[in-house]
Amino acid sequence: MREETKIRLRERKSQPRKSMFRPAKTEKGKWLRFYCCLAAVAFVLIIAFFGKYFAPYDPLATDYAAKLSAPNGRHLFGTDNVGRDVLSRILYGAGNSFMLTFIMIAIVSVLGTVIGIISGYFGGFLDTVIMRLTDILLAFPDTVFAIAIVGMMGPGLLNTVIALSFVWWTKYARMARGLASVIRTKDYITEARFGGVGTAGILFRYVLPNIVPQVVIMATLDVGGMMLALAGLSFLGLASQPPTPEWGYMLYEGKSYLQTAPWIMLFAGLAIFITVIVFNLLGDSLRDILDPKEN
Amino acid sequence: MKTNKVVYYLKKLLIFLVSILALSILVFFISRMTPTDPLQSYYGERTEKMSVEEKDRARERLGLNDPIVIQYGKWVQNAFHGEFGISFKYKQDVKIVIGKRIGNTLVLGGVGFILTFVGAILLGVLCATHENSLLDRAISTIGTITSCIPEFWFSLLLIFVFSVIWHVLPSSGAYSVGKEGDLLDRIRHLIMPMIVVIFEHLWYYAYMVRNKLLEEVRSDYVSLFKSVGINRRRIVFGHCLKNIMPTIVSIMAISVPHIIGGTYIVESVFSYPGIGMLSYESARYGDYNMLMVLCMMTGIVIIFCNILGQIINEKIDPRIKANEITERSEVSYGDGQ
Repeated sequence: MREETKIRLRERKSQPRKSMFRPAKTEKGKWLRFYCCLAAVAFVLIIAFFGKYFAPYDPLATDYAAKLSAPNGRHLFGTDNVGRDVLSRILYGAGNSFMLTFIMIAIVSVLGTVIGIISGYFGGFLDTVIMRLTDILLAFPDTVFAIAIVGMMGPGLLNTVIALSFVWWTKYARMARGLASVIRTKDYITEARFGGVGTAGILFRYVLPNIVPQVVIMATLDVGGMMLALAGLSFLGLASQPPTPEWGYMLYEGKSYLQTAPWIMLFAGLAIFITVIVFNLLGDSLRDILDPKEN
Repeated sequence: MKTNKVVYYLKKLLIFLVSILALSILVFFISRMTPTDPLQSYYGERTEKMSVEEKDRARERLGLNDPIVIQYGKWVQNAFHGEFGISFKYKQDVKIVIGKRIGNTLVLGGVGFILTFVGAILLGVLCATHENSLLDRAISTIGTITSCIPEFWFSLLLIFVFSVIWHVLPSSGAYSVGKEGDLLDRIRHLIMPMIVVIFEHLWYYAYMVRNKLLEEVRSDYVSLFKSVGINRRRIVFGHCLKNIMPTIVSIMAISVPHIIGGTYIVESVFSYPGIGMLSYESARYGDYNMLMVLCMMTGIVIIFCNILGQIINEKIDPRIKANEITERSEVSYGDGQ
């Protein structure tokens, strides 16, 4: 009996759950979970980019006769204060929200990775300066920081992009820097240099390929968070400007009609929620499969 | 050995001071380089009707015509004497305006913070002691879901259910008109914002506590204690929890910025008159003096907490180099902001 418990304790020792999302126990289960998440993400993406072809109405067409009507047969998700169809606006808004999110992720991941590689590979004074800078930037709550910057520069999409990039690149820079400074000391780099490969060649052919997979995982994990951050700024009326349909901004509009037309904020929020959860699950299962720490 | 320690803390102090200086320069210069017109917050709508000379005179009077560097020098000089100037919008000493609002934020953020962590520890222990039970799984699932709910949407849902449908709780503000001293009324106004602040963070930290505790429970001394026959509850509460407490405290310190960030958004949804609303207003309308003080206040709290977290972490695990904030990025994963 005692022997048995001892063995069980040993076994349990090997698998404390790290991930917030319950990882599947077996290798096969992990992949199954990954494919399920991938399918869900694909579904959301299809809706995001082709949704506008299914939209029953023009998202900007106003119909004052049917304004603030509750969800019904003609307007499945109801209409807003000027009679625009909420379902159509959500479908069109998906494209805008996703576009913006992906553009942001692309900007911060490329920017952060480049800065990180330079910092990590060359080291020295530049490295110290960059790392101190990320220290300071990381210390601030990103949302508050972004709100402050956008607030000061005035609302608008471009300013939002600048503000969020300013805050988010640090994460990627830190990771890329860490990896690059390890890779730099590897034998194959020394050998490549002896073989006559230039610095640019080493960076592109040997350092970058080793960092990209990690960046991709991080970027996938960040899609949800980025979408939330963007939606948060839109919700404060800082990012998207009317009349462009965008989820966060729809929530902002819906807030004023909470009493008379709760369906506006209900469906817009639901859209954000579903997207974020689907992407977070995918990112997590990706980490489960690829993260060497888990194996 | 002792001088080493002094050097260590002096170093931390230096980092603290340099960070604050950097922050003040950053905020000061960015705010003045942006196109926002501070006169707008001083004169409101009237600004548009003012002539160029009038505007110039007003700028001169507010000391906005000097070169930025000189303005900054003056600001630092006054700041050392405890003078932060007047708020352009409220036309009062900044300290007075902030003084009126800060209590609200401290109550919301402070009580929210304490409740979050007491709750997180309780839930974490409960989950860890019942590993893989229905409860454990239910809580982790709820945590997964809530971490993906945008807090502003969650706030709207609460308002919709409790204020619009059931009419049981007020939807905005910190107190009803004419009931400023009524404690019960204030509590009623506090319930929903507080729920949002707590719910957004509780699960994630509970999960951290749970994982740390589970790792601890698997250490060898626990099996030894078990075999000796010490009561399970005593092992968990008396030894394991005590051992992971420093880690929890450091996580708490590092997560203060997140709670502050959350509080600011919640304040704006519930039109709760606190520091967050004030910060947003002052950034938006160029109320420079106000903005500086608010940014410095938030910044000092955040930088202090970060350094505190670092110190605790380095005490627990001397291998951590002084300048790595790995834990911070771990924290930021969870609430997805």
